[in-house]
Amino acid sequence: MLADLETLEDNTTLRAPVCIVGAGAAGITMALEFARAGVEAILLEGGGLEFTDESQAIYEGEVTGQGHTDIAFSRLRQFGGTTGHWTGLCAPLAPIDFEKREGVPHSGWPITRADLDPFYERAQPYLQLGPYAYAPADWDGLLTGAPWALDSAVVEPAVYQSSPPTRFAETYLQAITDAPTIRCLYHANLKNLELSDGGAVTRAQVVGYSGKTVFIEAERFVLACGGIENARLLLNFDSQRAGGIGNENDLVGRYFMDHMNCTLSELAPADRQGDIAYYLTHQTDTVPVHIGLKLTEDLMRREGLLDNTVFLDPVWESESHNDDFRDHAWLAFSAIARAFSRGQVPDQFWARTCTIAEAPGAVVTGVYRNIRRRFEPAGTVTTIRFRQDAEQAPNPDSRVTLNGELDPLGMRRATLDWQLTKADLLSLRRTHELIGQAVGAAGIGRVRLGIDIPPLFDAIYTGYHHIGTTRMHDDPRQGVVDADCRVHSVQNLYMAGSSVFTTGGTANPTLTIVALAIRLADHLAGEISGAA
Amino acid sequence: MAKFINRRNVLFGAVGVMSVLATRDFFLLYCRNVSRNTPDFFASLGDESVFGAARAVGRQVKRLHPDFGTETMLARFYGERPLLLEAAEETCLDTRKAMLQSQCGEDFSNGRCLVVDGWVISETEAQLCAAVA
Ligand SMILES: Cc1cc2nc3c(=O)[nH]c(=O)nc-3n(C[C@H](O)[C@H](O)[C@H](O)COP(=O)(O)OP(=O)(O)OC[C@H]3O[C@@H](n4cnc5c(N)ncnc54)[C@H](O)[C@@H]3O)c2cc1C
Repeated sequence: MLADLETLEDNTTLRAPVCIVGAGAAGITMALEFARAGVEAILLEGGGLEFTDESQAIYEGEVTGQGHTDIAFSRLRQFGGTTGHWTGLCAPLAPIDFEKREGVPHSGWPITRADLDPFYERAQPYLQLGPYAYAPADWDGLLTGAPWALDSAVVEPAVYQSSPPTRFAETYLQAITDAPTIRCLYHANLKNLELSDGGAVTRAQVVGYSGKTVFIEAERFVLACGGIENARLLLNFDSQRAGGIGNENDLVGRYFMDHMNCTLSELAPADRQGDIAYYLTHQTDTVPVHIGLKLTEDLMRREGLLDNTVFLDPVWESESHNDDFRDHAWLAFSAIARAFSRGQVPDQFWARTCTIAEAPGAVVTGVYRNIRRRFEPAGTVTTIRFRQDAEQAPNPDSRVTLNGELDPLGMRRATLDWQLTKADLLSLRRTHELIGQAVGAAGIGRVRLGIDIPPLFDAIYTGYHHIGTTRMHDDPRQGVVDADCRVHSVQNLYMAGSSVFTTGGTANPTLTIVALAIRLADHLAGEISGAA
Repeated sequence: MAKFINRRNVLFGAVGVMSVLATRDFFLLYCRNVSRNTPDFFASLGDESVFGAARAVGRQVKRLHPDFGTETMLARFYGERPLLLEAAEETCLDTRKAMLQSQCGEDFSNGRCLVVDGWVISETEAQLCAAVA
């Protein structure tokens, strides 16, 4: 069932065994899993079914620290959440990402990759991906080109899959509406959580944009509002707990991580006509697959390095085959073009058109090149650039805090202070150097490092992945939630989304977000049916 | 088979091997910003722009490791890598190139490499470039 909060009586109280706040990738997945298990759930969405400035403005805040990031527009505050923006690259976190790694301070999840494997498998269909197959051998014979003969003790291929990308709003609105056990309210903004003396959430105060208030009473509450907002909400809820709920050890909002999105370092090929097809995108029968290069886990452990997958971006002799013109205007243009080609009306049509109108240069170049490349051969490869979303180490000084400004609902806005360290970049430099040695040994070419000593941060951009602000750890002094994603200091409050990641790894986060959401839904459904 | 090392083949060995740089394209990329005032001696090797770049790399190597490319160092270096002397005398360019790459590859595999001006190069390349700088 789906309803606008504004249609309810003021001060109505609704009840359900579980209440999920936030209808993005995590929240929608959990609601559908509860429906499958026959557990009644209330799903609250602060935004509407479409984009509105009124809801989006609540995400505005301040950015200090690392500058190439954004707090307002990189998130979408509407039904479906930021999956209205995402580009769909997916891979599970690697086994090493869960380990306590000597060279990576504050690393070590209380769960392993093996614990998550069954949930990753179930997450694949939610994101309209192919089989749960991320070992290079799984794709033997199905990909074009041949892998380079690189020393397998040093470098190995990394497999990624592409989601269409799944827009959760379009894909799951009907299922949410039709599920008899789901009650989804939109324009329903979580304003406060009330706690009992015993340390359990008793009810949630939820407000609409006209000031209407609704109360939710549930046995269990889940916050699934995204990596920045999960922390902002907990920090705002400080009327009963000084410093905010779950913040007894001053951890909420700390350890904020993003992926270091950058194209740095390049490979001069020994043979410009050499075969690099294996390291590009493959349109397989089931799902588009991308192959990158990464260091083996043994080598990462030995060298104390952070995780990284290098994707190879060839620069072709013929300019028309190069994609270096891509910017936000081009992405907006391709989203519109894709929707029209599928016979659909594009979402955010006017916002995207304005983005294009503001800086049409890339679109003009892109259209021109795309036409030319139909009749002009690519020629040889002049150089190959290294593109990546590299891991940064968990860092307590990198954080989300509250500032003095209030949003229209009366809640304090967030300040994002994204901090990177020289060690993060030097780890990436060493990773490229080791890849350079491997390609040199194989006679593939020579690598030029794009990171100096001391390193500069100006070529590092956000990966739009907001990670770590309510991190998972067995020890309440080192993490906000336990291995079941429950806030250590609250009996019945759970967190869903990348805010619980202890480390970021290098894989894009949404597949892990969905896997963890399924795992949490299973856990809660088990508890609820056990209690019944 | 140990080759006889004398002053002549130390230097000419370097030049001979260098005339078929293992990764010509690396040097082409490198020389984008290098002036092309190549002396006749090197020009006779054919690809002067590439060779100019090799010399530029060599100058950078020498800045980091002044002893690289010196006769004493080269003599020792060749002693440890007889394949290079054989390569210098090899008349088939393709075979010579393969021999050079094989030596560079072995360096890389054993971690015998260094970063020069951002480029990850093998010790063999560094020594040879320094010799002709
Ligand atoms: C440009 C871009 C490209 C991306 N590409 C990729 C990619 O290729 N691969 C990948 O894995 N990830 C990618 N991502 C990240 C991906 O979009 C997120 O990881 C994912 O959407 C997070 O899901 P979530 O459910 O945790 O949060 P969200 O999807 O952000 O959902 C949070 C929901 O909570 C709601 N909410 C917030 N506050 C409240 C409140 N107070 N009360 C009620 N509801 C509230 C919001 O309206 C929203 O619907 C990309 C992101 C961007 C911006």
